[in-house]
Amino acid sequence: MASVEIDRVKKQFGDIEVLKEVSLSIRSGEFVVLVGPSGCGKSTLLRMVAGLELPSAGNIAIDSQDVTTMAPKLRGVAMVFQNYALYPHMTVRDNLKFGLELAKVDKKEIGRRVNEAAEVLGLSAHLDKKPGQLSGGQKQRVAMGRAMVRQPKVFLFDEPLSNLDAQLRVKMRTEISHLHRRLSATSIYVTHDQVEAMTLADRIAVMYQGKLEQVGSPLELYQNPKTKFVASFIGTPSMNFLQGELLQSLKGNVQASSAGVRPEHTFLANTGQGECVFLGKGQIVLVEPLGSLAYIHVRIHDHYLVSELKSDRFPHAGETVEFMITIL
Amino acid sequence: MVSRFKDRKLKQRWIATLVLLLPALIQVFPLFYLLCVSWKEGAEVIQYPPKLFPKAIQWFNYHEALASAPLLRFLLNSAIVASFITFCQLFTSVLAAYALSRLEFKGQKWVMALIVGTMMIPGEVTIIPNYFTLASWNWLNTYPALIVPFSASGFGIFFLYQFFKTIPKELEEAAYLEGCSRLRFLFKFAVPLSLPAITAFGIYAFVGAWNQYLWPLITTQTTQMQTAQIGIGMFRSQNESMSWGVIMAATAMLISPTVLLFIATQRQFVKGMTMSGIKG
Repeated sequence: MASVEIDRVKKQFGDIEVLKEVSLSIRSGEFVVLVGPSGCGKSTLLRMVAGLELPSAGNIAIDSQDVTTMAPKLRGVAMVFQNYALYPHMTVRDNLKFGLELAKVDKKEIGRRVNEAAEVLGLSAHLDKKPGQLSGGQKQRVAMGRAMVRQPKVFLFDEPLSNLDAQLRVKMRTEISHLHRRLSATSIYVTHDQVEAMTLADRIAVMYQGKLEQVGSPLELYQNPKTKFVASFIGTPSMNFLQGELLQSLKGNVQASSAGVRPEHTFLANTGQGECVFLGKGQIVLVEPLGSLAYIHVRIHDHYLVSELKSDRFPHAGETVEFMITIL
Repeated sequence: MVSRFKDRKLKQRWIATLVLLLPALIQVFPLFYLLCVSWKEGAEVIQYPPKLFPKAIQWFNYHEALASAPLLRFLLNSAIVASFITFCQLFTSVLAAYALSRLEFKGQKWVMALIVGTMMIPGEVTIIPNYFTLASWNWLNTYPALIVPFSASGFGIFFLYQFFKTIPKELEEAAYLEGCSRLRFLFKFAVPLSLPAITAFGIYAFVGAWNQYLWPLITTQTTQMQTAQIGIGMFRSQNESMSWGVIMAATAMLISPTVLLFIATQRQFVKGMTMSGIKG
């Protein structure tokens, strides 16, 4: 376990500045998720912690030791890649022990660590198989096992679940969460999937256009976003932003130029609870039923809003309905 | 429905096989005819109208060929020269292709363009300067004269460059994070993963070196140094009165190593060629 200190780190590729003075402190044992849209610089930041990229400016310290220009193998980090990066011509066992052999770890110790990791990850029966013979989930477990056996100070995950199908992704997410609780290792996890971020993280760092927009616990970001980007990025479906005529319908309740409303805070007229405000009459353009709830896409005064309705009966596309929102 | 689909597939396969059989027969026929002639007796070779198959397989022509020229020496020379050229070309091509495909350095694109550019230069253009260079070093009529000018191959570098480019960058980064050096990655990962391409290029280099004619012809003067191809040519010019059967027997012996090599490694060769997207 180790803390990670990222201090005013910049990264430039030619004329393009992909990271603009990013600073982030990660406590020992903490699980921090870097989240943001494609191209926001999150993977670059992770790669700099790993030592695969050098910062153009700024410093990175692991366990209070400056590692900015240190070779990756000396940093005590292990990385799980998006496409697993397993050595295809080696068996699972060889994949797991390769790094340990390079580090000249005692053979008995290598065997012990490999067997232990295989047991924890349910890979014992697959140790003599080659990666090509494994399913996506098993490959991802091998990739995690390869990181585990090295007993690194910091685990780095670069969108490790994005190649898996939706069901397997949920399963692996739980496994990563269990693993983190078991090992209590400092982990930095990059994803563009905010559900992964919300479910795994102790703290989330939201990145946008090379800058850190906000760092906080998942609920903090959801409930008190500091910027419009964070508000729109965190939460599924995204937050609605009311402007123009819709904003006027809130009358004295809002002073700003736009107001954000979460889809779950909108209601059909007379079904809301708490303090509600009438938003307007609108036509339903699309209904996405998900079982106990549905996402209703509504057009009100040429503005499109998404509403999350919990009901056993949903309106149909084309219907005209009255919408209300809850004022928090 | 399924069986109709299977029938159609089978039919397509038969048609494809028949279509491919024709060019294959055209390619193989001269070789087959060469073997048939080498097994015939003297009078049978020149009989009119000619017959394809010998009355009985005779080995007389082979004994005659071995007795009248140092064929084994020619074979040995060709084997030495072709093996060394293959080894050198593989070694230099692997290193250069890896550096050009994986390392970032100034002028990388220009170096690659220069190497690809060498493929456009006909081999004959370099013969005279190479000859004078080697003559000034007193290398004529030696193995190095036959090997050194061919120890690097623009095609080999280009061919393997393309293959190395397909190895995911993350694989190298994962190994790098675990403490693997670049050179170790090359020999422990890049080479094993590119084995089909390396084998294909190895066979290509070996056959090319084995079949060289012009360069060995002008740089070697003694039978101690001459290679199989020169041997065949010499055999014909010195034995004009000799039966075609003997010449064909000598030719069969001299081409047999490359044919056997190809038969033994054809699976890897085809795999390497198709995986690299280069077709011969």
